[in-house]
This record gives sequence, C-alpha cells and structure tokens, in this order.
Amino acid sequence: MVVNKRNKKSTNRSTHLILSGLKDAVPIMLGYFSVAMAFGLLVKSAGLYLKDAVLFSTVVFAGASQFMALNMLMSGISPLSIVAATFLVNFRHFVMSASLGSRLDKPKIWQIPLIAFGVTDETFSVVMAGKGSLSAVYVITVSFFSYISWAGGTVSGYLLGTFIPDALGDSLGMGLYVLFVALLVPEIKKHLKVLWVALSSGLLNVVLGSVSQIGQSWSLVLGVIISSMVFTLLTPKEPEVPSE
Amino acid sequence: MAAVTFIPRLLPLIFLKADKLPEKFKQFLSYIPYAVLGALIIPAGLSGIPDSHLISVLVLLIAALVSWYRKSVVLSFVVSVLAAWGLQFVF
Repeated sequence: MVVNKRNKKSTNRSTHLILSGLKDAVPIMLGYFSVAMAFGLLVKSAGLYLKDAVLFSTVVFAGASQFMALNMLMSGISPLSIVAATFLVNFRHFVMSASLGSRLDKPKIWQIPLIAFGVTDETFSVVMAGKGSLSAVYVITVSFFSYISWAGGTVSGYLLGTFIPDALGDSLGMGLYVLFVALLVPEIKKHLKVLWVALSSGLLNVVLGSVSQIGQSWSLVLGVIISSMVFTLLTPKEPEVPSE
Repeated sequence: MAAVTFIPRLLPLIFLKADKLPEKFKQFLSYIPYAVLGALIIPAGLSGIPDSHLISVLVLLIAALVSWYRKSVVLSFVVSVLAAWGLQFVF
C-alpha cells in the first residue's frame, strides 16, 4: 500500500487523538449508560413510545433536563414552559462552551456544531482536564462515545428495564461524581488555589440554591461565574493556573 | 427543547475566538472548569447515591484519596464504584 508520508503522519495523529478520546470517555460511558437506562425505563413507565425515548436522548442529549422535562410532561405542564425551563437549566453550558472555545485549536467550520452539540457537564469536565490547546477531533470523539452510550442506555432501559441491579446502577450513576473528583484532585495537587476555586463555587451553589427564587441551574451558573471572577481579580498578572 | 439545549452550547463557540481574547478574560475562562467541577460535586454529588449522604460522602472521599495517590481516572472510577456498590450492602 502506498501512502504518502504526509497523509500517513496525519492519519497517525488522528488515530492517536481518537484513541485517547475513547479512553477518556470510558468513565462517562459507564455512568451515562446506567443513568440513561433509568431514563429509558421512566419513559416507558410514563406510557410513551420507544421512539419518544430515542428522540429525547438522541436529539436533545441533556441528562438532567430530560428527566425534568419528562416529569413536567407527566404533570401536564405546557410544552412552552418545558422549553423555557430547559433553556434555563441548559444555560450553564453557555459558560462551559465559552471556556472550551478559548482552548480549541482552530476547529474547522463543520466541526463547531458537532463540538457544541456534545457539550455536557461530563464531556466538558473531561476534555478540559488536560493542559494546552484542544484538538477538535479529540473533543468530538469524547462526546461521540458518550452520546452513543447515552442513546444505547436509553434504548436498553426502555426495552429491557434496568437489568443492572439497582445498587450497581446507583453506584455507576455515582461514578459520574467520582469522575469529577478524579479530575479535580490532580489539579488541586498542582495548585492549591484550584481547591479554593472549586470549594467557593460549590458553597456559593449551595447558598444561592437555597434562595428558592433562583433555581438550581442558575445557582450553579452564578456560583461558577462569581468564584471564577473573584479569583481572576485576586490573581496578579501571572496566572498561577495558566491555560497553557 | 433540542434548540434551547443546542443554542447556548453553540453561540460561544462561534463568537469567541481564542486568539482575540484579552489575557484577563482568558484567565477567567481558565478558572471555569474548576469552578464547574466544584459546583457539580457540591451539593449534588453528596447525594449521588439516592437517600444516602453517608455512602455518597464516603465514596467521594475514597475517590479523592485514590486520585491523590494515583493519577488514573479509570482506577479511581473502578475502585470508588465498587466501594459504592459494596457500601450499600453494609449500611
């Protein structure tokens, strides 16, 4: 087989990016599969069709707000209110996309919608854990496998019920929080400041969340923005947590 | 629902170009992942195992310990999930 040198090199690079994306996606996939199974089962018990479950998970691809929307749908809340609530809940991804965008290494124009579609709490956290600029191929790979697992979990949950025992299913769902801790701790080891950023944002989230008017998603967005802003202002010119 | 999920994820990627941002703003954006992780863990993670704060907190501590000593996300994940599973039979 004759492959010109340049092509071979870029193929190797892509393969490498895809493999590392797949590897990093594994914990998300396990967590998503079990959470999505619960979602699939819930859709079924709500008396909706398999196609509804699949459409939900493949077109929307947003964990918490799917559960929320299903709940609202069952309690007879108007579609417009559901859409509005979904927007509020998903607005946090606006902040995440902005942060992700600042690390992306010149994505091609057709890659941008794919990257955007795949931004979730988990995929964002995983891809941002590294340092330096991010390749679009890597980011898309992480989202793609997470997405497959989310969709697959939904279908399995609908068709088979949660064939994973409850205790194990809950543990896999808990795995998503384990993932967040495992991404955070190595950064804390490098810069103690990361702990203060995370802790203050978490505490703000709790405090703002208990002010009932704000609602959970907004307390998260506000907590994240306020703590990031405060630490940006507190840090002199040379950032201790550089993006490179 | 798809649109209101997709649009907030899309707009910043279209309008924010990394090389044109002021340093201070980039620095702000670089803190966001840590702040996001903090706000995802607190408080939701503390009840990650439904109805058991105790197990949830224990599991997060185990995850923190493992990732402090071994920088392997997969290892932390496996150990902590197994611990979460086992602890549910203990408590």
